[in-house]
Amino acid sequence: MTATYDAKVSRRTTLQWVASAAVMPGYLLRSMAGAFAPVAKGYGLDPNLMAPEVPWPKTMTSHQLKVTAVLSDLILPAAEGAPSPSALGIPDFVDEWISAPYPEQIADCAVVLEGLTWLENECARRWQRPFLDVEDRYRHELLDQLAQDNGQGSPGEPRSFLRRMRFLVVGAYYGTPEGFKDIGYVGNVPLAAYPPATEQELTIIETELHKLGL
Amino acid sequence: MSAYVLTQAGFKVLMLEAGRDYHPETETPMFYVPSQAPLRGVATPDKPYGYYSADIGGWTIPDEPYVVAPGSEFQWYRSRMLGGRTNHWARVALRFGPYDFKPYSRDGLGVDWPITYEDLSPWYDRVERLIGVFGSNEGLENTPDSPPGVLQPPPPPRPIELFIKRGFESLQIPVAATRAAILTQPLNGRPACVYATECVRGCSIRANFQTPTVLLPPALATGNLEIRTRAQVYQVDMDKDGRAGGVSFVDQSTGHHHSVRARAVVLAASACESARILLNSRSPRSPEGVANEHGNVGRYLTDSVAIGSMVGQFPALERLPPRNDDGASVSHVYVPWWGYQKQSKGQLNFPRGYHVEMGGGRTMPGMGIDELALTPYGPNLRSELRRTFGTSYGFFGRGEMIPNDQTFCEIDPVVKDRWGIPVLRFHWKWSEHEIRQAAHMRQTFLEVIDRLGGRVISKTANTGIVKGGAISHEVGATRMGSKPQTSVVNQFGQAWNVRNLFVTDGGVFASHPNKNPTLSILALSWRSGSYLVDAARRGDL
Repeated sequence: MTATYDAKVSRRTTLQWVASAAVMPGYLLRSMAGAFAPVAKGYGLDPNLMAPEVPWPKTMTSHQLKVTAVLSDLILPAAEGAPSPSALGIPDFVDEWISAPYPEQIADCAVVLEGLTWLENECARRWQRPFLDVEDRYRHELLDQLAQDNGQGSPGEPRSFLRRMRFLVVGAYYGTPEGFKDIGYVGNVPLAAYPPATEQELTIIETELHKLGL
Repeated sequence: MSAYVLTQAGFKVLMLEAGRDYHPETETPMFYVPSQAPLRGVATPDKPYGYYSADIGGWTIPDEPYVVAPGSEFQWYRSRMLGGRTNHWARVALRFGPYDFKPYSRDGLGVDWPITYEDLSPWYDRVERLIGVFGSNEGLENTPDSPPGVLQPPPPPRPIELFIKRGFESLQIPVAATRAAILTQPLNGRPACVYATECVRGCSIRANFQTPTVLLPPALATGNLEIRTRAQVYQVDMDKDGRAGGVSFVDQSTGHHHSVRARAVVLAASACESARILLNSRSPRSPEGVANEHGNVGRYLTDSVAIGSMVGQFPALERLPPRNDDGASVSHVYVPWWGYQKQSKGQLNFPRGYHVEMGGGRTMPGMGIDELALTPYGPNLRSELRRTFGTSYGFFGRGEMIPNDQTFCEIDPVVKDRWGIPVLRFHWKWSEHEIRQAAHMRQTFLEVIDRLGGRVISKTANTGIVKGGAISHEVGATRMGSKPQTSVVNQFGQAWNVRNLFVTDGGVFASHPNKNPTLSILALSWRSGSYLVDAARRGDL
């Protein structure tokens, strides 16, 4: 996935962009990301369910995608036998999501772009380096700070950013066959009959109910 | 259902459907997973029940507005496909019980139906045999059993359902097998469920009930049915003698207006759309619309009472090994209303009941699954998700709303749709009866979650009663009754003063029991169609 998330702008350009974007409201960020593209259309009331496709153009820059890739892999790091979110193309999904012309996604677009900008600004302010160049311990410091977000937001911090990124990364990751395997979802296969609970399952349930006094 | 009954009896039927033609056999995304869909398949304004849901339509349809009166909150779901909402409904198929037909006699609120449970029960039997309903006879109050051999066997409860069941039972609340229009055994050439793919997508193998796979094929096989899609009916055309001569419709493909003639007209356009057609059928003879001599069309509108989603996570279930919880899509158990005795003794502060539908366990993961974990990020997030997957369970109450004078639809004096047809304006008010019921619902779910050692994880857990129309069970806008002064149609769905005009959708409900409307619409519609056939044969239309 490295190629997909290769930055196409220089570090200097990025820092300049970050500096200017930091003071812009969300809707302008959105326009910037989409190169002032006209508002895209959704898939309509009657899309072809048998051949699903995303009709709207993606709007994130390759730099934003690369930051999103690093962030995704910090949120849900790869584990033995389980790929990283970036290996499953989750940054592309984030791009698809924040580029979509629906109210929930438009609201998330502002949150995500503002958050990505905040990460860059903080890295520049604290360590004089871009987010992509700092070590993970620095990134953890930022995420730990964001994790304190109680939805009210502290001055200067992006509200709900980590919460929404977590929603996007985790939801998108586990909506894949690889995610099914990792989390233990074994359905979506045809069965001739639906099996009743096994003795083992019944024993566990009874034991637990007993503990609860039921 | 009307087309099925009438064509089987040898009558020629022209079905005019506002939506497009639709073929579940080739259009159902069976086994597709979230990552194949835009936005992982989440609901959007274009697809309000999710990308894969078998619904074309929604709360807003371009160029087909409706108006909500100031001070009211209401949303109107409209379907624009052959088979309508039968394609994406949850398949929960509950009979109304004896009390449900005589609510006024029991508590003095609303009105009684002009029929009893005994009048409708043979038609329930027929419908259940024809469409295939699984369930069991449990002998619970006002929750009728079916005759032996009518129901198909229910699937065994999922392990998580056995756990949840004990939570309810510890509060002296009985839990029963769900009744759902899903085959667990082959029926009339249709195979049994394969226990995969949510029913809301429809079913390409025809194992659940939806009109295009179950009722329309035999109707078409008679050679008596012609279906015209993208034909939006807007008016009943009245003859000089006061009979319905036919209907007028717009061909949505061309925008051209057409009129067709018929010996009888049956409206089954959904409760509010049928009311709109009647109200828009104005003439010097009926200046307020057809069948509206007493101003009853559009009144007595109701929806089901519900609250925002209430989902619990149960640590006690974390030791259960992975297993396939897909099952028959719908939950295999449900909670019928249990408070009839308490209500009759005045021990509850609301007069009518609700039932509880449920769902959860190891269902296909997707967006929102992060709610299972508390860890903000990092390696522990993955391990927490692995541990807690399959241990959440949601509760969905569906309660009875009593018709009130502040809840109705009428024609808006100004706004028209793209074809120039006046649109509906909705007025909505929940009364104290519904608001108190919703509070009880919420309290019950919290108690069950607490008994079972769970924690509430749904973000909307504090939400109160939902908006009117949100459950898309709107009924009652053309209600049946025993006299023309207080109703629109008689017990057979026949307009009081227009003998060859019938309504056979949920509009005819005189009250709106907590039980989901589809099965009763089918039973009433079959009874109505049978009456129409007999009347036509007698030359009495």
